[in-house]
Formats: sequence, C-alpha cells, structure tokens
Amino acid sequence: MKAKEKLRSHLKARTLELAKLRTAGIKIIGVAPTGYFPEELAISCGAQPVGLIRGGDDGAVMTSTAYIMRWIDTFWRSQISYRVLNNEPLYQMIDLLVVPSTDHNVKAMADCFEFYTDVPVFRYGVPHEKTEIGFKYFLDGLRLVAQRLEELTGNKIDDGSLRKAIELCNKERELLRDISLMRKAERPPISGREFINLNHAASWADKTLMVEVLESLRNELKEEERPTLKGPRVMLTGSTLAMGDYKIIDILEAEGAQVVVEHYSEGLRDYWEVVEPDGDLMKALAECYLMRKVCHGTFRPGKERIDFILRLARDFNVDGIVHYEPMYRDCFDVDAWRLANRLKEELGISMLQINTDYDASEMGTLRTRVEAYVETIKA
Amino acid sequence: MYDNLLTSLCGYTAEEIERDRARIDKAFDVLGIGPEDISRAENRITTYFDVELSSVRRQLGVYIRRLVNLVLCKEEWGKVVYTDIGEMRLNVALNTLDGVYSEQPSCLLGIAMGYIFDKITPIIDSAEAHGMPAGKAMCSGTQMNLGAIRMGIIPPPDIALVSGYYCDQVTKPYEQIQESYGTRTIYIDGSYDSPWGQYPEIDPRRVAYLAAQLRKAIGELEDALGVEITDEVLANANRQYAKIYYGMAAYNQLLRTADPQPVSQTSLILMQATSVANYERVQLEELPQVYSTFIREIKQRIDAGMGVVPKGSPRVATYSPPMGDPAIQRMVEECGIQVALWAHMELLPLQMEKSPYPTWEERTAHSLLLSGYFYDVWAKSYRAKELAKIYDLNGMLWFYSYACRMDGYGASLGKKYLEEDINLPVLALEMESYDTRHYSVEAMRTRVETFAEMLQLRK
Repeated sequence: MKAKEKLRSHLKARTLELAKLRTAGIKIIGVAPTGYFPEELAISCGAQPVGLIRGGDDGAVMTSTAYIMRWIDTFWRSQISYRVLNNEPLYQMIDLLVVPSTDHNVKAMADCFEFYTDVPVFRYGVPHEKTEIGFKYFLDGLRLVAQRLEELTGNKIDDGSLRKAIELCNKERELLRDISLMRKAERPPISGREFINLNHAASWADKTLMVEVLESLRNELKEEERPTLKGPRVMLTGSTLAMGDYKIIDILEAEGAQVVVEHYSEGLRDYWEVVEPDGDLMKALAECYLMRKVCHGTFRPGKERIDFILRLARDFNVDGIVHYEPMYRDCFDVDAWRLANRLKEELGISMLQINTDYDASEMGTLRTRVEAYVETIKA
Repeated sequence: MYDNLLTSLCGYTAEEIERDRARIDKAFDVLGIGPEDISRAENRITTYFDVELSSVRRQLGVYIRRLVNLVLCKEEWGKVVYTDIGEMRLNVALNTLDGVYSEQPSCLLGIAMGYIFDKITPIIDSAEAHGMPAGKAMCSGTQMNLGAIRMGIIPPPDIALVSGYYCDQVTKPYEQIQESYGTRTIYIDGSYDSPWGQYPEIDPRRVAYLAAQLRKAIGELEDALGVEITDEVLANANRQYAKIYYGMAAYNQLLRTADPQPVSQTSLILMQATSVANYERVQLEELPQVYSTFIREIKQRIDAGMGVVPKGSPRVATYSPPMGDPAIQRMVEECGIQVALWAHMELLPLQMEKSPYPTWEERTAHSLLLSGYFYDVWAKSYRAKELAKIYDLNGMLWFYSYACRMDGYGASLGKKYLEEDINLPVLALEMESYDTRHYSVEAMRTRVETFAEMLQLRK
C-alpha cells in the first residue's frame, strides 16, 4: 500500500526533520497526552506539537523508581525516564511541555519535569465535570496556554491561523473516524494493530502529510481485498495505550482475535468529534475538547465513558472486551468493575482485565490469560 | 461485656451507659464486636494511649459514641450525609441542620475500628470484593467507605458529599453506591494545575473555581435536604469551626516547645483526627470541653517534667501520620524521637492574615488552599521548610501512605527539596493509613532508629 509506505518513510525521517526544524527556530511542543490539549493552538502559531506517548519499556519503568513512587501509573511514571535517560530523541527536543492536568498521576509527571529537568512546563487544569463552571475554567486554561505559546513562538494566534489549523485537525479526525468505522464491517480492511499504529503516528507526524496519508489510505482500503475474519471480534479499552506498548494487541491477533475497535482516554487520539470552525474559536475548541469529547476516566461521575464503551461494543459487534492498561490507574480500575458488570448484564459480554507494568516477564502469563480468554469467547 | 471498657477507659459514666445500652448493644451486634474484641480493645487502649488523662479517655468515648451513631444513623435521622476530607466548615454546617446527620465514615472507622478494636481488615476485604481489588494500590480510606457499606455494617447514605480537589479516587466508589442504593452524590471538583513553586501565592482562578464548586454543592445540598443553608448557618459553622481550631492551636502551641514531649502522638491523633474528617454532632458538643481539659492536663505534665520520650530527644515535624494503627507512633517514640508538630495542621503567619475575599465560598476556598494540604506537593514542602525554620526542628518524619498518589510522590520530591534547600534531614517513611497488612512496624523500627541516631549526632 502506497499510503502506508509513505507514512513509514516519513516517520523514519521525522525525528531528524523535527531536529532540523528546531534548529531553524521552530518550537517543539511536547504534549502530555491526556487528550485535552487542542494541538490547533500550537499549529496556529507555527509550532510543532508532539505527543509524548512513548511507553511499554521496562527499562524506563525501572529508572523511574529513582524519581517517583512505584504506585503512580506506569505510563506516567516512565515519562520522566525518557527525558533523563537521554535515549528518546523526541523527549530531548521539546521547548515546552504542555500538561493538561487531569489527575495526580499526570500532575506527578509535571512535577518531576519541573523538579528534575530544565524543560519549561505549562500546565492547566482539566475540570472533572461538564458544567458551566467547568467549561469556564477549562476555557480560561486554554486562553492561558495560547498566550504562553504566543510568547514562546513570537507568533500571534489569530482567527485566520486558528481556523486553518482547526480545519486541518478536523480533517485528520474525520479521516481517522472514517477508517475506524470501516472496521464495523464483517471483514475489516485494516487490523487493530495497523489502526493503532496510524493513530499513534498522528501524534507526531507532520499534520499535512498525515492528512494526505490518511486520505490515500481511506481510498486504498475501500478497494482492499479483505481477508475473511475467523477469530472473535475484540474491543480494547483502558486508561492509556502507549506507543510501543503493543504486546496485548500482538498476542490477541496472534491468537486469531481481531481488535476491531478501541477506546482509550490517553495515548490514542480521540477522533469522534470535530471542532466547529465558526464563531468564537477558543470557545469552539473548549466545546469540543471538554464538553463533547467522551469524558476521561477521572471525571465525576464517569458514567458517560462507560456508556460510550458499551455503545462501541454494540456498534462494532464485539464478542469480547479486554480492559488493558498500565498498573495503578486508580479511577479507571475502580470504574472497570462497573464496566464489567454492565457488559455482562446488558450485552452478555465478558471482560478480561489486565494491568501491565511494562515488564517483559509479563509475556508468558499474559499469553496464557489471553489464550484462555479467546478460547472462551470463541466458544 | 463492655461496661469496664467504656467506664474505665473511654470516659463513659454508668448513667451514660445505661441510657445508651440498647443502642450500643445493637450497634456492636451489627459491627460484630464481641467479648474478644472488647478484651483486645482494653489491651490496646492501655498499651498505646495516655489513659491516665481524662481528656483522652473522654475522646476515646466520643469515638465510640460516633461509631454507634454511624451504625444507627439511618434509623435515627431523617437524612444521612457522608463526606470526605476537606470542606470542614460545610461539614460543620450540615451537623447544625435539623434532622440531618453527617459523618465521614473512613476516618471514624479508622480510629474506632482500627485504633481501638483492630478490626479493619474485614472491611477492606469487603471493598476488595467490590471493585477496589488488592494489588492495585487502592486507598484504604476509600476502601473503608465502600467496604463498610457493602458489608452492611454502616448504612448507605442518602447523600454523599465528595470532593475531588485533593484526591482523585475518593469520589469513585460512590458511583457504584449511587447505582446500587440510590445515594445522591454531590461533587466538589478541583483542579491540579498549580505550577511547582507557586505557593504561598494562591492562584485566584483556583480560588474562584473551588468557590463556585462550593456554591454549587450548597445549592445541591439544599435541594437534596429540602432545607435552606443560609448565610447565618454558614457563619455559625465558621464560628464553631474557629472555636475548635483555636482550641487545637492552643494545645499545639504547648506541644511545639515542650521538652520532653508530654503526651503520646497516639493521643494527639485522637484529638486531631477529627479536624481532617468531620465534626459530627457529638464531636461538636464535646470537643471544646475535651480540648480545654487536654490543655490543662498537658500543662500539668509539662510542669512536672513528664514526657513520653527522654528530655533533649531530637525534635521533628511529621506529615500524614498513620490513623489506623497506634503501634507506629509508639515505635517512633520508643526510638527517642519527639514530634513537635504536624506540619499540615500548623498555621503559618500568612494564614492568620485577613482573607482578601468577600464571600463565604471564596474565603473558605482560599483558606483551604492556603492550608497547603489541599494545594500541592510544593506547598507542603514549602510549609515544612518554613516550620522547620520557625521552630528550629532537627528533622522531618514524612509519613506517606502506600497507595496515596498525592502524599506518596510528594514525599519523595519533598524529601529531596528539603534536604537540598535547607539541609533538613527527612525520613520518608512508607506505611499505610489503615491497612496494617502493608507494612511491618518492626521493619520500620530499623529505619527510624537509624534516623534518630543520625539526628542525635547532628544536634
């Protein structure tokens, strides 16, 4: 497939490209991937946003113990390591770390960057409810981060540049959604692993190129010869799915299951809603990123997220759900109990719950559990 | 079965027992408290607490009364509201309303079922079977709220007033309680976005947001309770709160400078635990008298040169002392460390200044955030630094509870900051607030002994 090849070559050269851009004065904005930073803001003032979504390495987890307690969420705990270990180029080149702070796990990451590194950090709060006062607080936060980005880049965010960025990002979301929805088919044209790779790529690829790739890919997939799906259809969900944390998908697909849909609050990009490119654009961003987006697992109450997962499970006709996430993400863990009960009661679907500490030694037990689960839902 | 425990060790009079016997019997039956538990409680109280002080005995009795009230609250009160740590003034206000009972179960159960009866584990087991499993670093305080309701030892509340400006997790189990029992959950939201180094400056946006949340919560409470929470109710709550707070400040003032430390930290926990939890009605009625007796008894001990550690022992501040197991505090004292103050309870001079905000909600929000405890890790570290300077402390014993996201990572950053910035030795000591299965006091002793020796050498 030409589109996939184009993306592969782009990503191969992307780190170097970003380094060159930085040398040329373009600011690189590292984004803590809670899903509440409108990257339109960075793009519209000429900066390059990159999601800090690396995960899945036990080395980073081990290193983090020197900086932070072991019961902070594994993904967020390991983020400080990618910076201090100096082995992940993206983490070395950021001029500003933007942290939309949802909870203590995310806040801990921001504190560690402020305390242990020289990276400037800008954080703003994500309220845990979709109310008028929550909206106002979030909107204020967006205005402050926009101001910070303007100061950093020296470029003004005006309506023209912001609308253009919104249209570009909307296009990307629409294309991701179109491709994702193709997986509703009895014979999905794209595997779960491929779709997740695409989604992760969108966090750091050049936006214009990403849109071109997705557009071509969507057309190519329409003509794709689809393999017959033999195994069960599975949904993945949880708190965070990091770039590099692919063992669960690989095991599932190796066991003959097909991951047909996923819902994660972090790591993967949300593509279900688009920003209205009219009126007060800052408000439009806040509307989309807070009010219309399916809520994060730390929201109170969090029923909307559970309802949405059930809806996806129904719409994508899944046979099973794997709740897979890093260790110690407390709010998601507590909600998982209710999710499992509702899946069983309302859809008659069982849920496999797995927590990972990104440890290589998990592979054996993980494979056994997944094998058993896939056998169960096949039956 | 329990007469001796209550009269000799918990400050009850014979008349009070007779008056309450049917209720106590009923509550103890629901809680599964039998002769063995009574005997264990007697042993624990005489081992760990300063029971020769009448104020300590009386306060132990207050916890027993509150425990009985909690178990029976649904049948005795029109509306039951459970709260969590945080908005103390609002808790006080609730307990002044007709027909309303308000309590914070986890802290009360920690003291009553943990400190006194050592019967917490089955409650945590119950939570682990209902969505807060073992091995996932669940907060034991939050587990106790859920576990006790699921066990049926305390009733599900009509209303849960839960805050999210300090802890993420504490609100979550109430969603399943709401689904199972129809409890109405009222949230007070917050946001964790203060930059490192901001405190003692308080972000006005955070004040405004928390104040708006308090106003919203009051409106929802009025709707749920069918009563008006007037400015007068709130002002009255403030007065009652202030009275208690200044009582606490008065005995803390004595303890800061006393050498040797005149009473055990275990007794102090009994006095202060209420201030991070709730002021139930019995507590509101009894606390002023208990405090005034406590102050008199401390003075007597100081005058007599009595102490629970040798005179001249290193003086430290603590953060987040354990609230379910008195063995930890006793061990610290046995190692020869005197605790001069609790860093999160102390007032810095800036907290004594008049609030710049006009409304009750704004003043309350500002005051909560200014306390540091509800602000962030930097605020805690900053406060510890200031207190160490003001009171010339030798070190800091920073307890942190396993599974507490806020306190846990705060301890590691705070330790580094204090050691590097003011060369204050800090022992960050992991324990668990209520779940005794997570630590061994004897294993902790080795570290505390070494720390004590090091502090002694530095003096």
